[in-house]
Amino acid sequence: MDQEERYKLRIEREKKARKEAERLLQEKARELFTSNEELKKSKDNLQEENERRTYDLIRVQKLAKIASWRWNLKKNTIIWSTEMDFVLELDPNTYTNKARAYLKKCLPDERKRIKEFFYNIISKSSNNISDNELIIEHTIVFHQGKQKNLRVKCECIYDENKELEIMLGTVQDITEHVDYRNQLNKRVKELEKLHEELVKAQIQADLENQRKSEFLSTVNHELRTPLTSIHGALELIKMMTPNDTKRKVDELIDIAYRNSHRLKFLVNDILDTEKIDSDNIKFNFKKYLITDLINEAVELNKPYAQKYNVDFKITGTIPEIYINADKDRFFQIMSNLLSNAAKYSHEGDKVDISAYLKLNRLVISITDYGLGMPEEFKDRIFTKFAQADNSDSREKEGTGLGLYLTQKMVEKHNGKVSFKTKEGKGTAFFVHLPYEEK
Amino acid sequence: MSDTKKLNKILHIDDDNDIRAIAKMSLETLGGYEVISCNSCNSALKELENHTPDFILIDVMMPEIDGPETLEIIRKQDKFKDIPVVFMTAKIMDSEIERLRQRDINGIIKKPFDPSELCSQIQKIWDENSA
Repeated sequence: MDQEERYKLRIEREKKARKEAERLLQEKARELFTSNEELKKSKDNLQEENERRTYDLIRVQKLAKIASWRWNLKKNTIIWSTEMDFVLELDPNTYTNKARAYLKKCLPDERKRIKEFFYNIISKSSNNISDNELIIEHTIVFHQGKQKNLRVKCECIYDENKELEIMLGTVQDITEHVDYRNQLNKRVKELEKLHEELVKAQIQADLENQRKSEFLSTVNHELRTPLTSIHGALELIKMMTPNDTKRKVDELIDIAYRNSHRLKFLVNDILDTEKIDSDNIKFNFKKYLITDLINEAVELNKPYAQKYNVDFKITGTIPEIYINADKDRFFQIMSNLLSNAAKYSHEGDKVDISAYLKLNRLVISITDYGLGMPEEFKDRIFTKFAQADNSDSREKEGTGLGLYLTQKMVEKHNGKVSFKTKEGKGTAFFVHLPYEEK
Repeated sequence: MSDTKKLNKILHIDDDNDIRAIAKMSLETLGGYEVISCNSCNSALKELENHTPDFILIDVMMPEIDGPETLEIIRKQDKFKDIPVVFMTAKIMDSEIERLRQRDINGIIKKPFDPSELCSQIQKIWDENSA
């Protein structure tokens, strides 16, 4: 091969090599372009992802009404999320100092409490702080009295020297939650009150049942006691033979009569008690001159005075005034008090009856100078069958309901009964009633 | 209690004068028993110093010292530990009777009682107790 041919071949090879180099260059350029495109695309994706996350965070914070914040204590900077401005209802262009803008929304007491809350966290070391100390709930106020409840939660980040470097956390608007909680507490309190009332009502009903049962038991006992004597006396009379003495027959008749009398009073008083307790008693109120009523009542009860050999004595002048009274019930009141006075007097004693005006009330007093009441009896004289276990009273033919009925009937006359007593010295009863001038 | 002993002396404690009179008359006239009547626990204790009854009837509802307390006081004396005691009561509701039955007694007679039956009721309890 000559030189020229070799030259041609070399040129050809160089051409070919250049062509190949150009092809490779083009290929590399294409690859570079593609790679660049992908990089750009990836950058765009990343930005998009970032934007989406930020957007989501803002949306989520808005939905949950939770703002986030971060306080760098070393640099003394605070940053917070956009939601904080919504929660605090602040225009970000109107403040520069975030802490001040926040505290400005609080009333002085709350401000003090929040400052103490943060001072406490700052003053404590990392292992000396409880979870409770990292949460505070407080209120913020707006114009026209509107207010919000916020819950602040903190987390502390300490540096290598264990010094507090950063505090970060959330501020949540819990107004709805607090309102709900308050409503719930209110409802719970209402329910507790209702429960308390129900328990009270139950106790009251139980007591009432117990009282009724005790009353029934006592009534049963009180009715059976005279009935025992009546039944026994009559049966003994029935079984008598002509050999039995008249004295014995008379004694049995006396027993039967005395006890039938006692039974009659007892039945009447029990019926009156039932009527008055169930508010089923009718009072026929009319205007009466008190002088007439008292004189007539004393006259009607003279047989008691005679029976016990005592003297019913009206002392002083009875005022010329009128009272609104049910005449029969008024006499029943007087009869109970006068008969008691006679029963508990010593033979030959007097019983003083007087009437006077005091503190816009007519006071009728009935005073005996007899046995008086034992101290332990004073508290229960107006209760039903108060004297049921008192032998003296039984011997003195009481039904045990007289003073209970007296008090109730006086109350129906818009009045009250009081008494003074001293054992061995006597007892004075006072009936206080409203009156009308002549 | 000896099965040969005859019921003779009965102590009756009741605060109601008339019921005491009726019971005494019934037991003495119809039963031929000897009756010591007392109106309270204290007067019964005085009588028990001088008398040893065969049988005791005690009213339940009495002032100051009631029937069950009276029973307890009497039972404390050794010589009355085993004496037949019967409560007489006008408190006859089931719960009350049940409560009384828990006591150391030999029977309960409800008021009003029949004078004609009182003797046989007491005699029956006496016989059961003696058997």
